Amino acid sequence: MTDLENPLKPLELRLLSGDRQALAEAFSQCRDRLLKMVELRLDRRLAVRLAPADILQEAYIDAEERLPHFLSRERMPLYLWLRLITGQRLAEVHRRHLGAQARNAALEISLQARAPSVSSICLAEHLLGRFTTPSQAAMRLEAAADLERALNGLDPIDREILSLRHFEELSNQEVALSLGLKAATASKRYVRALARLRQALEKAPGDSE
Amino acid sequence: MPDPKAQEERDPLDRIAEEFSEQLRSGRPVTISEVLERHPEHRAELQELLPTVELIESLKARRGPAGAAPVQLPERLGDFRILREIGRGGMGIVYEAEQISLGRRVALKVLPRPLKQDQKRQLRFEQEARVAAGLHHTNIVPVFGVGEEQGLRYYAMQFIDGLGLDEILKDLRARRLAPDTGRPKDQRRHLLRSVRRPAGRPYFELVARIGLQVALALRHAHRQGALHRDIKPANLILDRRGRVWITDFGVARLTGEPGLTRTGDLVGTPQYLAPEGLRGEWDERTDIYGLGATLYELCTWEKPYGEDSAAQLLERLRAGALDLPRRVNPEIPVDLETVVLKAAAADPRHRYAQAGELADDLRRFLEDRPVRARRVSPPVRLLRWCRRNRTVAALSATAALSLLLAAALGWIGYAETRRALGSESARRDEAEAATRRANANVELSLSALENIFEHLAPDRPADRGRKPPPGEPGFELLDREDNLELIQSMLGFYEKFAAENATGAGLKLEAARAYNRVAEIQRRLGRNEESAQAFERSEELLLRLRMESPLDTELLYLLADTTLRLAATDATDVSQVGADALTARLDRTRSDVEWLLSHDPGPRSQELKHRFRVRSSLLLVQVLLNQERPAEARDLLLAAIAGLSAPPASPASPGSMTPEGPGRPIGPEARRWDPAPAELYRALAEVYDRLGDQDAARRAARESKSHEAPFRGSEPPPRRPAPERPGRRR
Repeated sequence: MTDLENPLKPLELRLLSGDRQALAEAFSQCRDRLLKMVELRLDRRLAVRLAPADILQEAYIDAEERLPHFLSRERMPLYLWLRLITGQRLAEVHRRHLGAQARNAALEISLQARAPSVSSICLAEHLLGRFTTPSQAAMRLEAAADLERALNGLDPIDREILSLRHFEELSNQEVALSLGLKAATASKRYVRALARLRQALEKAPGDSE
Repeated sequence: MPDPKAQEERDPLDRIAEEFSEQLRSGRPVTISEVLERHPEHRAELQELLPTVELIESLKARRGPAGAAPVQLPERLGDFRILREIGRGGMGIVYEAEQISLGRRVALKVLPRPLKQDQKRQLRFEQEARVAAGLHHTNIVPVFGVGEEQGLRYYAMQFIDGLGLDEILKDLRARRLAPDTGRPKDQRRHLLRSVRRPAGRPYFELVARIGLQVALALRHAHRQGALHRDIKPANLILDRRGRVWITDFGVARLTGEPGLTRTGDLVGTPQYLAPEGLRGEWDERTDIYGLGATLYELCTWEKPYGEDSAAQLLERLRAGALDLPRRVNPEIPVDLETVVLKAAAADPRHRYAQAGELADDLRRFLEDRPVRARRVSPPVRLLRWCRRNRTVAALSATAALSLLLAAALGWIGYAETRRALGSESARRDEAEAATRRANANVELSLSALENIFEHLAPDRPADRGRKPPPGEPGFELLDREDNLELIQSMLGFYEKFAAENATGAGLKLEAARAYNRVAEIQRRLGRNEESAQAFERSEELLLRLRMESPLDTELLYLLADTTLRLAATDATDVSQVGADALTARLDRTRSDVEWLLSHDPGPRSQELKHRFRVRSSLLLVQVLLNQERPAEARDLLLAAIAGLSAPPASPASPGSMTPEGPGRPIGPEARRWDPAPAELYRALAEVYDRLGDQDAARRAARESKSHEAPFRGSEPPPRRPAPERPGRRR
């Protein structure tokens, strides 16, 4: 997703030159990806009460307030910075609503990013929205259920890295920056996670329950 | 491109996988074997990893539009020559094909190349074919045979020259949006092509006929033990002669053959999938729901639950908040709407139990006879809605009740309720706004609440003042914790409402009613003190109001009713109220009742008179007992019991608090019963006890028991002649 960085580059420059309007534009360009990030990480218990869009709204206000922070961190790509801010807002929301439960150490694997990690993946819900077309496949739901089980049975770090790569569609570089890893390490971890997922998928079918 | 050095540090497998992912995301056709050819050095590893990548990428929600991964298909499969793709269904892709040996056209359903060997899926495929092949019905697409070639499984069905109802509906909707953009393309011609909008008796008869055919086919399938599990427009084909074909028993399986679908597995298409289907529970009624939802769409040309995002759709599905069809399209005949609503009811228990029943009702509609399905009154719909919406009911008392109110009012503008189902904050705002609007329509909503309340906590006056014993059938509703919660929040609402409006100008009468309601709720919860207090406040307000408008009939009814109810609470201790106050009250009530009898003759005032007599007798008995005059008390009671042999003209609703009319179908049986005999005999037993006549006391107690409230749903016990005669006493 390297090409995703380019559209933001002019906006980055405008921001650095003090044009605050660029932030709104950047935010709206990144909105879908950020939304995806929030949806993926918003705790299921909160999902019924909070709309991801509301969290983005708050994150935008945070971003405005903390713009100097971005300007001082020129090495960070704009999208990742917005993602970081949104992740922090999300973590704050979790703390506010879930209290101590949110500080569960097992959830805190991505310390650098500070976004709550992906605790469980629910593909079925995403799939549901696609049933508005006539030719939909229950089989896909079946397969989705298997995949879901397999993903949710993985180690949190594996699940996180697969989520970043495939659901948030971050590049390896972006994953590395988000998780504070070296690019080579992030890459190795991704390949390892894929292999583990495949093993889990092989075990998954209904015969072994 | 980021730092090229970083690129080099990366695992080559990662880079290939990423490239593959991006190609899949962009919708460019790419197959694993192509990638393998390009990277022979990593063949073994990629063979392991890429199918997994493909799986994730194909199953995750997509941001942009992207086609399903193409399946490469040979031109021939065994005896079949593939002509074109017709559609993609639940379990596979359907092609139009030619069966070479017989020279006939068939629909060939092919299971796509499996991503992994999946025994479960194969089993299901075979089973599906077996079920479908076993069904012979004029409205079910026949299955010719099953086969396996080149690792692909397929089965051949009769080719139906027609269009899926989904396509027809799409076409109809499109034409409604742009009515003058010429005629539809030729190959889209279908029976409904001349229809411009869903209106007119002939159109709805056509809809009913479609529904009838499907219902009959479902009845047949269900009798064979086959559930379709995915009834929706796309699986119903309308041919050119107007016959409907159910196709794609794609997810069907034999009922009672367990194991294949694990609980929690999700099949079906949400907009046509019954709420219990979301939980993985299936029976015949789940199919009926699918048909109901389809009929809904045919009647309204709108998708049953709209086309919002997944989360919203899911929430709405779970809440079962279906827009009333006639609100969407007022042209729909009432009877047809009733049938559709019953077929698509959120709770399976409220649906037709069998497809045959639905077919019968559709036939009745076509023959212009009244349908069997009963319309559900707004309060019942509201109640069902509240039940399903635990989150809402779990809000604070006022919020929940404001929402109830909003919903009650929403039956004038139901759309408001639907909007209230949005985000939580919106929900609260809506509720508040609705409360404000409520003032204009208070009476209506209050009476809607009455009905809900009656439904939640049916009255059993024989248990007056007694805490409901757990497990007793009459109290099962009150016992259920969620009901109790709802009642508690109702109580909170009424109290708040009463307190806020007790001083205001326009709503004093409603405030008095609300206090009356608080009292009634408290009484049924077994809190006599609180009940009496609320009755007193209601009475006080009404007395003040009477000074303003002394001849208001409604007010007098309510006042008399309140006073009598207050007198009936155990907390009314005669010795404390004092005989004078009591006499004053009774005198006032007597003169009011007499006024009502002369100015509003009829069952209502007669009934009030009856209640007044019974209540005043019972109060006088208490006074007499306090004054140690049990013998007189006994005579008084025996006279009152003898007077019962002339029962009131209408033992129906005791007071003005019960609205008559359309909102009443809930538990009317709970009201037909007259509490007077049981109460009088109970008092008599007490009097005999005081007199030391244990035998007579026991007899009276037994008699009292026999007059106690019947359980809900049963008829009142036959009135027996009073066994005690004045001459028999010792």
